Amino acid sequence: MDTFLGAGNTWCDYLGVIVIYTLLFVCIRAPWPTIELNWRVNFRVLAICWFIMMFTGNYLFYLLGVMSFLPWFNNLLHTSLWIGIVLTWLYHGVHKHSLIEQFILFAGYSFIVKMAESMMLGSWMKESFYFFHGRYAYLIAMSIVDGFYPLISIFVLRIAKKFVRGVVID
Amino acid sequence: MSVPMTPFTPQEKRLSIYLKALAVFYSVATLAYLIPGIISLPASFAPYRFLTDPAYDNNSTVKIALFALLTWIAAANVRKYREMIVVVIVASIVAEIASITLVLFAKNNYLISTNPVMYVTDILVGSIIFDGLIAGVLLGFFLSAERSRLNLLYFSPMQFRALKAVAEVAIDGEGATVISAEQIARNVDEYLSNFEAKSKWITKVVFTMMQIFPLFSFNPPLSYMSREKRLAYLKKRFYQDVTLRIMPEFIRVFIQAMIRMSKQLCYMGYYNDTRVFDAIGYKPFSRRSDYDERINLYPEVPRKNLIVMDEGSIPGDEFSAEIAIVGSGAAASILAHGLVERGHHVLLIERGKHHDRSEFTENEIEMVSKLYADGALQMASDFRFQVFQGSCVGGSTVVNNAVCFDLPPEVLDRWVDPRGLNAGLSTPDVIASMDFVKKLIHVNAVPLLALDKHLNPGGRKFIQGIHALGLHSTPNTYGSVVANIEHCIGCGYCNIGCQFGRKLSMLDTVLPTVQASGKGKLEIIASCEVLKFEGTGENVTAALGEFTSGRRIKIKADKFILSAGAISSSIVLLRSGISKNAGKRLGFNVGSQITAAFAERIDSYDGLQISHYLKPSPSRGYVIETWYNPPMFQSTAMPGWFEDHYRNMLRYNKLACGGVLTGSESNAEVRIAGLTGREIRYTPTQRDFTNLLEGLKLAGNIFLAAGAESVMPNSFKYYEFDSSLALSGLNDVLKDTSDLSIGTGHPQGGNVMSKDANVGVVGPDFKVHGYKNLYVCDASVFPSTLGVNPQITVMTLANYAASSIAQEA
Ligand SMILES: Cc1cc2nc3c(=O)[nH]c(=O)nc-3n(C[C@H](O)[C@H](O)[C@H](O)COP(=O)(O)OP(=O)(O)OC[C@H]3O[C@@H](n4cnc5c(N)ncnc54)[C@H](O)[C@@H]3O)c2cc1C
Ligand code: SF4
Repeated sequence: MDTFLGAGNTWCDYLGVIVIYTLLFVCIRAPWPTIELNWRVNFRVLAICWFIMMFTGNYLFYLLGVMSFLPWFNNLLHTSLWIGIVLTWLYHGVHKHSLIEQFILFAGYSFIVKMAESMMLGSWMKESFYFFHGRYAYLIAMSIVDGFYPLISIFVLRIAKKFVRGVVID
Repeated sequence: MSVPMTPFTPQEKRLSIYLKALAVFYSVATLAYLIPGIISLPASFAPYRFLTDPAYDNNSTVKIALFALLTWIAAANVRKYREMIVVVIVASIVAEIASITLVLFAKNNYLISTNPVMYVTDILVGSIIFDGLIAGVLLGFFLSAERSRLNLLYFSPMQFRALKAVAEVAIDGEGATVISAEQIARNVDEYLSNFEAKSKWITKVVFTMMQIFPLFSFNPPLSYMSREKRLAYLKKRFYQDVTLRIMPEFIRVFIQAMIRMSKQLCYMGYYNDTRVFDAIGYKPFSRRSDYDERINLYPEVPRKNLIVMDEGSIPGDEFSAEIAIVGSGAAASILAHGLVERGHHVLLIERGKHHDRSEFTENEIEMVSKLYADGALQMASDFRFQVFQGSCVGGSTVVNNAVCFDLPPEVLDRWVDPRGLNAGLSTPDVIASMDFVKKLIHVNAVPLLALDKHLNPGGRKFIQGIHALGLHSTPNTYGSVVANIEHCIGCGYCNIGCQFGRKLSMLDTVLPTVQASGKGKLEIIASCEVLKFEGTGENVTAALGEFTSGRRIKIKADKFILSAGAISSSIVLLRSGISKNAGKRLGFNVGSQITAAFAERIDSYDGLQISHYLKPSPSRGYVIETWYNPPMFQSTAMPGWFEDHYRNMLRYNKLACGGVLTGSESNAEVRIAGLTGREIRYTPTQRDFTNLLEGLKLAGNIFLAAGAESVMPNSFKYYEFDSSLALSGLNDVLKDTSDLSIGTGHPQGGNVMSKDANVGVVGPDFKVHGYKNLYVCDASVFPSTLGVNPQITVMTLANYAASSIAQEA
């Protein structure tokens, strides 16, 4: 169970994480309660792509030593619910804003979630990140990486448009 | 003389048998509670200490003996002693609540046995279930017996009693009423059972609340009060307290809504009854002395049959079309005309039913149900603002007054102003389109085509007053209205459908003509509400429709045009998740009426409903139009309460009425929320309120100048002004629009047109921003309100849109 839930973690801890996701989702969803009809294919494409990319990426980067190990269930929830659904919802709402604004929003929200997961599940812990030391260095670095979600999404959608009917570049 | 009692219904007999069984059971139980206290019980009963507790035995014996007594008496005659049954039911409910409270919070929950483990509250749970079953069955039998005895079609017995109780005091005054409160309530029950509106259940809520509301101030339920007490109670709580604003606003809103709806339903029950007509001096058209003469005055208008499909004629769950238009009203019909003429196949999908004009009658309620349905019950979320819309094939044009005003040039300028909403319309093309439409629908100045004597007689007073006040000089415009009406014979039923085909509605003219000339290129499906659109990316692929029966179909098309009218079009977009701006920037031509009482009989009902107008220039922000209705409609707009209202209705044939229309600011919004899933949020601004007040004062002065004895605004508190000086104090007594009855038949906006996708829902090509094949074209795309009757503008834009949509096809 250690690699699945993480050492010492219980299902209750995960329930707590889901509560945090839900609260943030409520805030993110408030200004954009529904996904615009013409954006629903985009939403599905992005949610699936990000889930696959991040789920495998997190593990590969762990193997490469760049990231700390994410327990499998933590990885699953984080990449499917948080990145796949909640962050894609956020992207739907703000994708027309300036890239800087989007970067700050994505990095900021990611930091909150990673912080919560690290406190509740003990994940996202690394003593240092390259030249930067201290508990927060890794957390901040990983959040900054998430700040690039919007930029990468543009490319994902451009590529997907060639293969999937209904993808809209707006 | 005693009224012979009708035999008991089977449901009443069943109730009587059940009560007898209960009486026997309770009698035995009385002994069963008493005896353990006075004899020695076997040892096995030892754990159940309470059984021998004298206090417990005493209380239980008294309670159950009382139940036995009441049920014995009630069983003897369930009608005569119905109150006893009510007492047993209420007492059972109280006992259940007490037991549940004890189960949840009892401090002394002692152990009765250890094997199995049982606490005293476990026994209570058993008794809650057992007593609950007994009381539940009793309640069920009682309600069905009541319903069967009262022979109710729609309301529950309690709601019916409340309705009757309100009717008894709401319709009363000098002289006896023609029909009893019981008959009024029965009329309403029957009307509502036939009423084709999904949201009519709200009326049940209203009467349930009316019945129990007095309990909150420690009064008996409304129908249990004596007539005098009830009248005093309603006057105090629902009238004085509301006008004096001595309660929090959210309660005031709620109370105003309850009383407005309940008294309006009572008025419907009374004034729609043909037996009442003579008493108020009203003659239905078919009984007027010159009926034959008028009917024969002009030759019967020939008409082409309109072929409309309904659920039965559509097999399967899919239907395909080239261009699917949602709605069949002003915009949809003109779009169909333009598109079919250019060779396209068009399908109209209409949520309302198709009623040929041969089905139209003089019965107001019947026609409101058929032609408006839910469109008659639309209210803003604070229940203070009513929004009327037609809901039938032909849309609001079937029920409108056909009054035609051009799109005011200053409004068009505002719409296309690049610094404003920047609608991007071509002004010359819009004007050309307007000229075309006016010819197409035969817009005429009314006096040319109707005899002057067929105009609303109250309107003549209005014109007299205009002259007396010197308002007839330019630049003001006034006179008889311009309308798409030909050979009007003045029956006065425009708002419930013109059975004579003189009002050239879409149902009667454009749709059948297009269908006939289009050779199969125009199809219409009725009774099918489009719920939402489905799509992939920027393409809408299908409209999901639902028939009245609940059956759903998918309508596939190359192009979709949403023409469901303001409010509904926004709702469809919102349900589909289309456009974040949908539902916003909604506005109305807000209307309020002023009634004028004359000494002599003028029979305002005997002529074209809206026949005269005044448009002051330079614009003061409003127009005034004369307006009069058959009794049911008129009674709902008649000023006054209780005896004042009754008295005013008694002089129905001596009254004239003017409506003031002001184009509101676009500060309203429609959302998917609230009780009916279409919440209209609207609070008139101070500017709108001031315009209305000024308009009402001017209209009042015009009638006074024409010799009216008094004028009465349609305000919540009743005021009657007999001079211009007195009327000038209107601003002092009316504080805001909650003091005034306001409503509209002209909602506009909600999906406004703007080149800017951040502001508008559609662009100048009527295409929804971000979609390739979805268009909106109806009153909802107006960037701001017009301030004049909108149908010509709706049609103008539809004709304009048709050419651009056709070009793209
Ligand atoms: C009582 C009354 C009097 C009026 N008098 C005048 C007047 O004298 N002069 C004037 O200029 N204007 C008048 N009007 C207003 C005028 O009739 C409307 O502004 C005009 O008809 C609006 O046209 P529209 O196409 O936007 O909507 P409508 O004509 O209302 O047509 C919309 C149609 O869409 C249907 N619909 C709605 N939702 C759906 C759905 N989800 N699926 C399928 N169908 C749907 C409705 O049932 C309706 O038939 C009056 C209106 C009323 C109610
Ligand atoms: S008054 Fe109205 S309903 Fe009657 S004939 Fe004239 S247009 Fe038709």
